[in-house]
Amino acid sequence: MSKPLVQVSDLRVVVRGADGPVTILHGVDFSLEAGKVLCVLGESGSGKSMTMRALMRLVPRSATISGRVLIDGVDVLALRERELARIRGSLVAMIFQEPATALDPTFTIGHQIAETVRAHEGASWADARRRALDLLELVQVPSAARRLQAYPHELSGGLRQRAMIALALSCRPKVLIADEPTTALDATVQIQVLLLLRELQRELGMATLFVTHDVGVACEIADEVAVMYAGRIVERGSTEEVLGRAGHPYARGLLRSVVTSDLVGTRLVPIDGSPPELSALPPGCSFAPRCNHAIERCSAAVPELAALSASHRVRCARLGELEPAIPHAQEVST
Amino acid sequence: MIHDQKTLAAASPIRSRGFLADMGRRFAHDPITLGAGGVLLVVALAALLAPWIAPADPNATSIVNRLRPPGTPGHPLGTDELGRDLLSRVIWGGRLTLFMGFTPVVVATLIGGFLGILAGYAGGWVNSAIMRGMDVFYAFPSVLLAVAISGALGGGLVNGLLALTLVFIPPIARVAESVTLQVRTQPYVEAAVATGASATRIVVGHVLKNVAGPILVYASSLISISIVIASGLSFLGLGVSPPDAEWGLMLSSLRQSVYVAPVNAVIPGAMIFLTSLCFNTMTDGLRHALNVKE
Repeated sequence: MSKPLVQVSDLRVVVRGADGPVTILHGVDFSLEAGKVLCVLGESGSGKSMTMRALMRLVPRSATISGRVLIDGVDVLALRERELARIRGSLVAMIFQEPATALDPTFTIGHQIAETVRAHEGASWADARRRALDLLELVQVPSAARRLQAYPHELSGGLRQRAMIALALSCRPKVLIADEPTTALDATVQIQVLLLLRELQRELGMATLFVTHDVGVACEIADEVAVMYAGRIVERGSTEEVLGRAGHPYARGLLRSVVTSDLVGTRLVPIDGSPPELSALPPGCSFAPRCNHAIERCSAAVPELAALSASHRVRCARLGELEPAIPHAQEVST
Repeated sequence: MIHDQKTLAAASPIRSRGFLADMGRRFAHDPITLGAGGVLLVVALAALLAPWIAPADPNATSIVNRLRPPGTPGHPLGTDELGRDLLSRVIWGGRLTLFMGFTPVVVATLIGGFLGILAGYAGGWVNSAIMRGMDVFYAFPSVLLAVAISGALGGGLVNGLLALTLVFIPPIARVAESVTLQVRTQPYVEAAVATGASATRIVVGHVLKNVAGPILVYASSLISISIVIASGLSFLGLGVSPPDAEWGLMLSSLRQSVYVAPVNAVIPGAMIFLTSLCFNTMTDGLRHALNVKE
């Protein structure tokens, strides 16, 4: 087993709010090898986006990050501002959720890509433009040469996201962070962009962190899956392990909310309640108030991430006591 | 589907007309703006070409020809209280009036824009220091402030310009600050940070380019106010000093003859009115063309 490219341990983020500090991340640990895809699943507010931003230290000024983030041997949290700018885009790059607003409306696509290439590699404008053209072709933008001259508003959502991907790939990052890159797109375009990302990831051998709340997306491209809830990873493991034999009641609930054609005529089982207020988390397991299996012990202390197999970890106090998970589609239809 | 229209637009041959061409096209479809622009063009050209097109020396007095009504042979707009040709004085006066309308706004846009963007981007105590400083000037109505400053500095063209510039810096800085605050939180700024852009590149590239439009639209709306206040200062004897031709000053001196030659007295006032009205109309058109929402 090679040494992981990304190593995150005990990552904590605290934001100073109007009513005192709020802890967004309560010690997140994971690692990722080169060339692998880790999908981070979770609802809105579970801290998945914050985790990704913390990796690049793209957090609001009111937030403080602690813990340890090692990317390719670089201690990201110890970098000074200037060094940080050098690794952003070249070592770690990010694809944003909303290509419509994450591209500057006043510059052409080509300019924005070329500018980044120039900033990192000191290339001439001509070279940078040539590279931008190559990149647009790489992300399969039709008539790429002309699209270089286009402003973001002149492109469709899918093309814009492709341009965004080209921008992220412009300086050959070793780690690509994709924060719900397909959420803002039409269903048909989503698939195209997803397939493109998978293809590029394999071709370029990037370690990829893929944030999504869509289990289907995770199935499609992930090697490993981590499920987040209220600022903690509650379950992680290989894709088959987490999606096939989920151990945590929340992860199971998440999988049960996937709609497939098998479910026609059956009732969907939602997870009761709503995500907890981050400023007032319950003691012990944060999911306990919504959990059908919660017992007194669950509220006593935050459960540790316990090993279910070599790679499969679950943060549940009743791990092993609950009935083994059965594939979700059958579970619902019976 | 949200994307339908955009997809269709993208599917049609790409016609990237560019920003200026787009703006020009929107202008062309707006007859009122075009009309206002035409009037301003005439006024500006007349002012620029004054030495060549003015029919007479604007300062040549003639005691016998005092207060001739418009239409007098040789004096299409009549003469003033010292017998000077009014048309020539209106043409020459446009120079100073427009100059006093433009210069303070241009200078104030540079200074106020810089301060506002700095305050908005830096935030924290820099913001507080700059913006609270601006608030001090805000405590006074603009006309009163201009009168007070040029009164304190003494009359004259330069002091008048200085007073007007000081009056316009705070509002422009405030607009620049609020637009910068807005732009700073835009995802594309975060995205630029994520690609490793330096603070300088973000401010000079992304912020400046995105705040320029709203600031320019706001600044251009100040030109008409600047013209009116500048004329007002001259009218009060605080701006341009006689015998130079300036519309406010002309209005002031012809005011005494308003019962004898009312039409003559109205002419410089009408010019001030017309010019500032046209500037306002132009500004509205500009705002429309730049698609600035307020």
